[in-house]
Amino acid sequence: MTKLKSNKAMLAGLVIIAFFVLVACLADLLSPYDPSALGVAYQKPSAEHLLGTNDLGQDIFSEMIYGVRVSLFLGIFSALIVTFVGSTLALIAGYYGGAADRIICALTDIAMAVPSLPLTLLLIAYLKSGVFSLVLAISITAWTGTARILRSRVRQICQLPYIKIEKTLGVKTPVILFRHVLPNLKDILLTRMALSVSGAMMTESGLSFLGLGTYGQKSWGNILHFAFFRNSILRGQVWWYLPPIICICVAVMGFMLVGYYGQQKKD
Amino acid sequence: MSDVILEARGLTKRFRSREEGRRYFTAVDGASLSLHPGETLGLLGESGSGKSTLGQMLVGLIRPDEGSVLYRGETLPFPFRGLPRQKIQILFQHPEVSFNPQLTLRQSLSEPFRLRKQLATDEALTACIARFGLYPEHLERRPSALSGGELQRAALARVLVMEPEVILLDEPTSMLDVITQAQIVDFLRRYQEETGTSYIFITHSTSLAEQVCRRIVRVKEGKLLDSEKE
Repeated sequence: MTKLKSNKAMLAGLVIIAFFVLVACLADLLSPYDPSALGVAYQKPSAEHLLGTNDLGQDIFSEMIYGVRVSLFLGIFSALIVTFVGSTLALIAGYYGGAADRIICALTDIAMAVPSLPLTLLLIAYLKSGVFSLVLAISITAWTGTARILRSRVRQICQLPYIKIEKTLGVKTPVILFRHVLPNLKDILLTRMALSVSGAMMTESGLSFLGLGTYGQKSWGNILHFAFFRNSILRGQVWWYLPPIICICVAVMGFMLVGYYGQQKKD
Repeated sequence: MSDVILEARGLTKRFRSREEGRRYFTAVDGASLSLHPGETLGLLGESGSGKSTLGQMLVGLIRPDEGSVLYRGETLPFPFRGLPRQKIQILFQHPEVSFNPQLTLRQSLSEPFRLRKQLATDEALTACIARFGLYPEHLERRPSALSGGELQRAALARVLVMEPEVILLDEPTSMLDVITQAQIVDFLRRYQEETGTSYIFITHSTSLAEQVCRRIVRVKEGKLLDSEKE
């Protein structure tokens, strides 16, 4: 806790994340209106509608509150998949070395060489629209960085005497990996996971902005898409397009600050 | 039963080379040696001579490219399994990285007990460390809260739970103060007298090798030289 207090960047990141998680959990209580309920269109911000209404008369403030859920869920769930896939491959490559390492490294290099955005777009075009398709499309291209960084660290750890001692004691490989290697990756895992969440949130926002996001579910990227699609910039409706941009930036910054702290500690 | 407990026959290990024009370099080149019950065999050589690589092949940590390791006359497949795995152990030079930094000494010491299907009770763990001058309060500490000497003694205690017949000692005292060095060397000598355990003592110090070992084999550029002291 003292360490945490001394690292203001990490603390700020955690406060931001906690704020958005709280908003996502309490969306039903905090939201003044049903975000899909129709009303008078294009209202300016007022006491009744804090951020005005959109082209369908839906309350933008309520949309923003519910949008936290989708954006956070997508970011966190994608990061979990990315971290799981990346760390599993890294453990296998780093621990066994040899042919397994060469195959996984080659696979990672190939995946890194493929431009991620076109591949994600292609996948979304083929997959059924929805949150899980989006998670899959984001995750399938995002595991490479995590795998590459963790693999180097696993290799380093496996050269340490305590791992060699576990092997000579006769400890089984899964026990070595999960009891002795994985816990020593926790700092770097936390960092990668935080960065993966921010990366996934950015990708989701980008895809939703392009109209390839989650239809029927409000996300910040989705709100932004409709704001631009309905010419909110030309109409000067700052209250419509600016809040999602600010929220995306602040949330991504929150996760990056947590990631930054982990990186700093590792260095 | 063979009077040789551990034997190396033509062990060779090559590693990929980073030097230009050279794909591999040979770390150990056709090393053959034998270890008898209750003896201490010294592997003496400069840094980079290949003695640690040879040692790690002897304990089954590195797969040899050529040659074999025999335990009581039986060729061991890589990786070692079963009884040979339990009976051939290693103690490293760096005590500060000989324990998982995330685990307490209690958790680390419980592992060999579990592997031997024994209960790691308070009494068993305390008895295990007591002969090395460690106390029950040490059990609750993580490696970062223990000194190098305490860690090396704990590492030795952990190895001995396996009741090994062969212990590879890879410069086990080089990172320790003179008093702890003497304590460990003295303990190893007494333990050998009591149990007949064999040691392979890797060192670059001629004086220490002559003091500790009954037989010395010199290692130079991956090859064993015929220099023995009887």
